[in-house]
Amino acid sequence: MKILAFDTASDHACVAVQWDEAVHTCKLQGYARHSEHLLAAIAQTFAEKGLGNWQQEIDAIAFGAGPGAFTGVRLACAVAQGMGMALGKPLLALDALALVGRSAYPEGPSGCVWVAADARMGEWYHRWFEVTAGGEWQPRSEPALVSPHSARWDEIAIDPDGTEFRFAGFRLAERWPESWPAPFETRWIDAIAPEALLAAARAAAAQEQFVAADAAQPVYVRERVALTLEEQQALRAKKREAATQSRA
Amino acid sequence: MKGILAIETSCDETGVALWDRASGLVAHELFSQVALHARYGGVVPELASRDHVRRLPQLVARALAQARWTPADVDLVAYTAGPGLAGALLVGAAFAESWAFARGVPTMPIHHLEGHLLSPLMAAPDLAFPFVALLVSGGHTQLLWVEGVGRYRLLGETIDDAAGEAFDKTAKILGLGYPGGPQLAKLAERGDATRFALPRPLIQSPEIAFSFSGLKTAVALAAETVGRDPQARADLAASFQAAVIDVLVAKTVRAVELTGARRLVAAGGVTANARLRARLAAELEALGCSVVFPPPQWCTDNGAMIAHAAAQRVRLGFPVKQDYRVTIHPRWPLPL
Ligand SMILES: Nc1ncnc2c1ncn2[C@@H]1O[C@H](COP(=O)(O)OP(=O)(O)OP(=O)(O)O)[C@@H](O)[C@H]1O
Ligand SMILES: [Mg+2]
Repeated sequence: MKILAFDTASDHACVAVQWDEAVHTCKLQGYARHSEHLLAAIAQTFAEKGLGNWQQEIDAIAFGAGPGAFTGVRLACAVAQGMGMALGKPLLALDALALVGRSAYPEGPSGCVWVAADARMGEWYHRWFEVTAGGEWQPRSEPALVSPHSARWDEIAIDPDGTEFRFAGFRLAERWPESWPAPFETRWIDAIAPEALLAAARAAAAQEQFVAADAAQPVYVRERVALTLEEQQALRAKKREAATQSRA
Repeated sequence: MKGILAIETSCDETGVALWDRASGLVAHELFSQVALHARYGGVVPELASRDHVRRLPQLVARALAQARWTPADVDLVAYTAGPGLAGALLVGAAFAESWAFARGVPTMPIHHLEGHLLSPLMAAPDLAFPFVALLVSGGHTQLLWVEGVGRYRLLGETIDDAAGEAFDKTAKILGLGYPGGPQLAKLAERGDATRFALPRPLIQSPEIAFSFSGLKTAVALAAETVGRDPQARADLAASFQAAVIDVLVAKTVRAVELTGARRLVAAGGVTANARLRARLAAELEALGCSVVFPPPQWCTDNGAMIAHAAAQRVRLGFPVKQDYRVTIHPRWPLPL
């Protein structure tokens, strides 16, 4: 299997190539704009390994699809779409939270892993996974948003008293909420590991999760990004009311 | 290898076009997000970006099928690199650069306003330079002296709102839906343009400059007196439209007089306005200056005008880009 994979959802973008048994990686460290450097990093990775004919030989293009920073996941998606359409190659949309989990637990311990990443505005993206004895990361919940300081643990945990589990977190601005149980095994990461990117890509390819370039989409989870006209009106009315009350 | 794939994603329209080097435009696809943004009363940048990344590859696929091209037929990828909404521009730029990178072909970033400005030449390819260009859109109101492709001099522009923006804001004041320009123009057809005496900002001043924010304020004041009276609202719409057109025409006449131009090219979404077209044509032709408008379908944002601008640049030997950096210019002054 020959796969090009990349992720641009965080500060450290990551490019990795699976070329049959060989693995080639490249980390874009701390560039403010991944967009300027991503294609150059891909070109360099192929050039260094002498893979001059990658455009023909590649089987799929995998990208970190989110949830994550909107612009970052959109960049990865648009790059994958453009390359995939131009070359007539299929895409693999990789769940960003699985990438976090795999980066934190490369050894893939079997059991439940709860994964969270910063979603700003006081919220986390999160998702539950079950890692099988064979090292597969099977999602046990949909990716979702949670406000860690107001949410109740027993409503978030898929099995609050049951299975032993671990936690993987990525760049969380917030601290672990005090009302939650003392953390079990907890690992924090600050970048997606290229090996994790490829492991996820291989798994997606093995399960034939290929999508056509014109059907691949980012995953945002946060769908409400603006107020409708009615909501704007309601908000204004509420503010006016509050103002008259405070005057009274 | 046949020609150019062009992509436009600067605001709320996703546009794609294919341009054959020999025969010109061979396919174009456009998706307008107007319905998406209507319930928010204006363009929501994040939603615009999301929709571009959803539609763009589908529109490219449809354009290829329409022209019976394969990806191998594309020898240059042109895209709008600015000005516009950063997130929206990024989708088109990333897609275009990545396509070009994968196939080893060059790109050509295009200035959105150059696309508008040269669009009338799509229907009138023999139009001779130099000419004065009036660019009136949702984000711009400018008069330019155009000596050739890529040779532009700014004669003057708005110091506050763009004319299209003034149409949209006034429409909002009158409770019309989004985007307001076309709806306001429609309402104005039933109105008496002399009913309200609205200001014509800067019309007396000799300089070439526009200002529309005071006019908007005057409309807001007048709107409080009309209430729900349908005829009064139509009259106010007509009075507003007449004021904008008076100013646009007066300053355009001034620019033509100053430059001695024999031709005027008018472009941008507001030139879809039938009254503006008629007035411009009448007053300029009286001065011996011919007026060219883009066909209505190329007035608003579209991919064809980007393909066309790129084709002109290529023909004249302007450099192409081959560094595969995804670089956008959300703010990008035109005179180059
Ligand atoms: N018939 C009309 N009369 C007046 N204004 C109109 C008419 N039709 C469209 N418009 C206005 O044209 C504008 C849209 O034009 P266009 O799509 O060229 O602008 P834009 O792409 O949003 O801005 P820019 O090109 O400056 O970035 C809107 O403000 C709209 O209200
Ligand atoms: Mg425009």
